[in-house]
Amino acid sequence: MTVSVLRGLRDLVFVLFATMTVLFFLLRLTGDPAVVMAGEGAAPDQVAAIRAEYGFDQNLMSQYVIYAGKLLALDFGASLTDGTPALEKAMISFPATIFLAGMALALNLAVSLPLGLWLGRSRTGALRRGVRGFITVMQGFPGFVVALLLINLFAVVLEWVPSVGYAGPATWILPVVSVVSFLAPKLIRVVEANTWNALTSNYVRTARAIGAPEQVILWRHVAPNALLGAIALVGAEFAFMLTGLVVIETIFAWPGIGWLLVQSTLNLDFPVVQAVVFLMVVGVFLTNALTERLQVLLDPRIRVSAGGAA
Amino acid sequence: MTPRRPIAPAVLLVAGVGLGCLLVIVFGDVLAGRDHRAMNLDLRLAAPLTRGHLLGTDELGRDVLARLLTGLRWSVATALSATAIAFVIGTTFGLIAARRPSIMGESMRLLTTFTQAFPPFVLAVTVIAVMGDAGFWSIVLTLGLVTWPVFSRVVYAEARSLFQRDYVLAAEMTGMSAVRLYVRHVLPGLIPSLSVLVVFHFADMIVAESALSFLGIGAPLGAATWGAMLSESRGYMLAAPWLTLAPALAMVTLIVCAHVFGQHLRNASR
Repeated sequence: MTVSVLRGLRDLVFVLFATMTVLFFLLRLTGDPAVVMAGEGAAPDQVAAIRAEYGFDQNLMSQYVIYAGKLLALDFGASLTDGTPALEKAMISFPATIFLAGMALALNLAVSLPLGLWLGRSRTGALRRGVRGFITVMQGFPGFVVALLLINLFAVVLEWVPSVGYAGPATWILPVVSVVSFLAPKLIRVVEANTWNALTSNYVRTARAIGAPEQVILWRHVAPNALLGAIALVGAEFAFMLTGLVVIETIFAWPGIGWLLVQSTLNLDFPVVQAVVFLMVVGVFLTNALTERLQVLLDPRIRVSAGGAA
Repeated sequence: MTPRRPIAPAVLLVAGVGLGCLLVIVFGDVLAGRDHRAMNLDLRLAAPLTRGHLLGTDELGRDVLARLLTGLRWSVATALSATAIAFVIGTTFGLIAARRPSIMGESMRLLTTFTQAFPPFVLAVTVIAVMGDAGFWSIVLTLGLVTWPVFSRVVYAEARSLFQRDYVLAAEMTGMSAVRLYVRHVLPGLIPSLSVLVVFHFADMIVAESALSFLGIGAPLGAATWGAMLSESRGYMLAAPWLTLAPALAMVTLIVCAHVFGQHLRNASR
């Protein structure tokens, strides 16, 4: 336990260090923020003055040393566009993304678990075949395409819900459904496959042989095993949502961290980009660690093998 | 001899769409019958089937079908190239790490984690800035550099188990060179899962490319790509819904076909 936590922390430090270092040098390749800050048609000496004020005129290595030193104290500097602390700006937009991801997670589970269990119980039947075909087609819909189509139908044509924004439940529906539309097919497939595997396993055959009722077999033997196997995917999907909702957030003007990443990158607002990426890495890392812990806690098989290894 | 399984209708459909795509890619503009760049400001936002415009025209009077077919070329070309780059990097790393898991396994794990933590959007903007222009190679490089862990993970896991097989151990003991060992015994064992992975990755790259183009950091400005078409369509959702529907349905069709083909390949290799 302690060993794995320490090893996890070491990995986190390594990944953060590598990401923040590569990010620093890559961002300096994207352009000169002083030119953007000075605005269009600014005189060269104005640009030079801004460069000097923010230390962009020093050589890259000394800039990096200062940056790395401040990073150790979690000081990302001030946003180049409005002067507020960069980390604060990133922290303010993180909850919106977590909120969206959380709602999508809940809806995803509510849809995928029952559907996957139901599909996995049998290989035959017209209804099941129809649903499987539908899922295959849904898997081909990219999330942002679903978002555009939903906006087109429900916001523009029918005018049932607002098309963009983040103000009350009506504005939550379309973003959440868009996200779930591309997360759910994968989860349904995994739960379905797990259910089928469990149903054809030796322990279910044994349970049948000793005369256990079908309901008991389903809820006592099949469902827990099918759901345990899906934890890893659910965790991966949540981690993905912390970084991967850039396009959805942009479409819906959802003030989350993906949206902030796009804005700050295009504005060459380096401190904010760095703070956003820092939070994303930490968020993904924590999600992965929690998923692993959850698997160990819930699944005795993993608990035993993990304990043996550590 | 085992009896041949009947060909599923879905497979026929996929084959048809694949053949259609191939025709479009080869003959492109000829099939559309018009130049995808030709504007006609007198005929803006014309509905489908207006004056020979099968899928209508966009806000600048350009033929939607011609743009759609040009976009298909672009999508397939970028997705194939990005898949190739990811394949080469990922397979190389995976194979090297699988050979010496004690030394390389850990570093590959960290490199993979690092790559997956790095936001593609920032990399895309950087690559465009460095290359001076948004275009084919900036997209392809970005996508390849971001997505190779997909391949390295699978290759690493499968090659590791292959290296422990008796026939590989036996070949190693006869003093076979490392290169020969890879080419003769390890790579052939990887082909079934890699070919499935390539097909699914191709579909993912179609989506990723159009997402980048949608955000305006993929295809060059004004290019006829599905992502750009979707992005431009947002201003005309009520007046001209076909501007959204046409690229959306084209993309979905291509992806679904790739998925069905991939699943078929997976089932066949079992």
